[in-house]
Amino acid sequence: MLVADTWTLATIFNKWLVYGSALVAAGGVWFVLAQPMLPAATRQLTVRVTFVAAVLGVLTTLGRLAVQAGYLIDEGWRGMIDPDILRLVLEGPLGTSSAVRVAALVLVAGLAVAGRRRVWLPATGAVLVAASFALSGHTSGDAGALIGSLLVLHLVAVSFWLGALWPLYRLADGSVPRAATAVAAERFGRQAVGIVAVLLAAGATLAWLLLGSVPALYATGYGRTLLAKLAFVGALLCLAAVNKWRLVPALGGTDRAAADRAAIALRRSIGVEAFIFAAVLLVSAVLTSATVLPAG
Amino acid sequence: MTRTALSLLLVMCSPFVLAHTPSESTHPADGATLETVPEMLHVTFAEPTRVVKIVLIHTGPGGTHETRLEPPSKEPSETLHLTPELPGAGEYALTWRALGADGHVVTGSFTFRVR
Repeated sequence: MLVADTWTLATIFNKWLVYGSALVAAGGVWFVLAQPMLPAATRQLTVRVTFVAAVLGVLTTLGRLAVQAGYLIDEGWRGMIDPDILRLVLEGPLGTSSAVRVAALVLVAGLAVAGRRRVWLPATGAVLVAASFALSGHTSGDAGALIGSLLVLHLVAVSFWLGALWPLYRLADGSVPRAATAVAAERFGRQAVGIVAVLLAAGATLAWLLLGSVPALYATGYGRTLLAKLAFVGALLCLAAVNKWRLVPALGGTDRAAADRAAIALRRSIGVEAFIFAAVLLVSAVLTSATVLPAG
Repeated sequence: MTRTALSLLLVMCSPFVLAHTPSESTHPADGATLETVPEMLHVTFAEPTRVVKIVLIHTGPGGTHETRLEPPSKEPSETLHLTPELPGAGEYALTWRALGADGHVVTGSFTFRVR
């Protein structure tokens, strides 16, 4: 028989994959929408990555139902495919949340065939991906409407940022003209100011509503895990600031050697950003799987 | 490297795993010592909860026996009411696994002793 800690770890690992794949997929839609001047090759690459991430998002979301069933009955892997237990899980908030996420990811994957006139379909999917996370767990209680709306705003902003990392990384690899890279990176930097403001404001308000007090930030497991997440987010913001105010301006400058050096530094910086983002998502998975809300 | 990361994650989680939605009260009270076997076992939850698995462990003169009890209902309820036939003196532990209102897995247990 699997021990409870194994199930907790399986839940955290599974959620990490769900968060990463679903948010990268939704973010791909935002990147294509927000970058109308994107070189065709980068657009195609983003659409492909979005499709693959959406498929992974669907598979890991279905896996989440099986892990929850196994966790619930705790009778080894057989519990993961027990029809009665799976039905119970499906009837609960996780079932609703998973159904919405799968439908949303199908719409997101449709970016590959949507064309410019029907792009509102994958965009709706990208919003619904964020909304699906508000339908179960800590944020689905009585104060649902306000907390849920804040979480949707927070996650739309997160996906906007996360989904831009891979296309920007590839844009800086020299395969497209440096000027096109500079335009896209500069445009993303301008948009990111507002997006990061929404991300932080929604995140801070959510934390306040869920924690209930300042001492809860250091006196409870939930609060301390949140502090760990904030430390990683702080590191992300530092990197983003270096990118926006140092590397991207150099990328569009007239000094070709300096622009090449900036492109290499930007790729390295985005690579580190991706690793830190992975850590933020992992801590978020711990936060939503293995902690008790102080105010709850 | 992977083992170190997993160990770190376990250490991070260990102070607060499996603690969602604790029960508000039990009968008999957790840790109680009784003179006679109770006629019923009762748990009150903080919110409607779907109990799916109940295990009663009895440790007496004849050794330790684990009995799986059938949940009275799999519908969400704020109470769990059981009337098992208890074998007599010894230590008892009742554990349950359930689905909480927010979709999280809820586990809980309480113990009592019969002289």
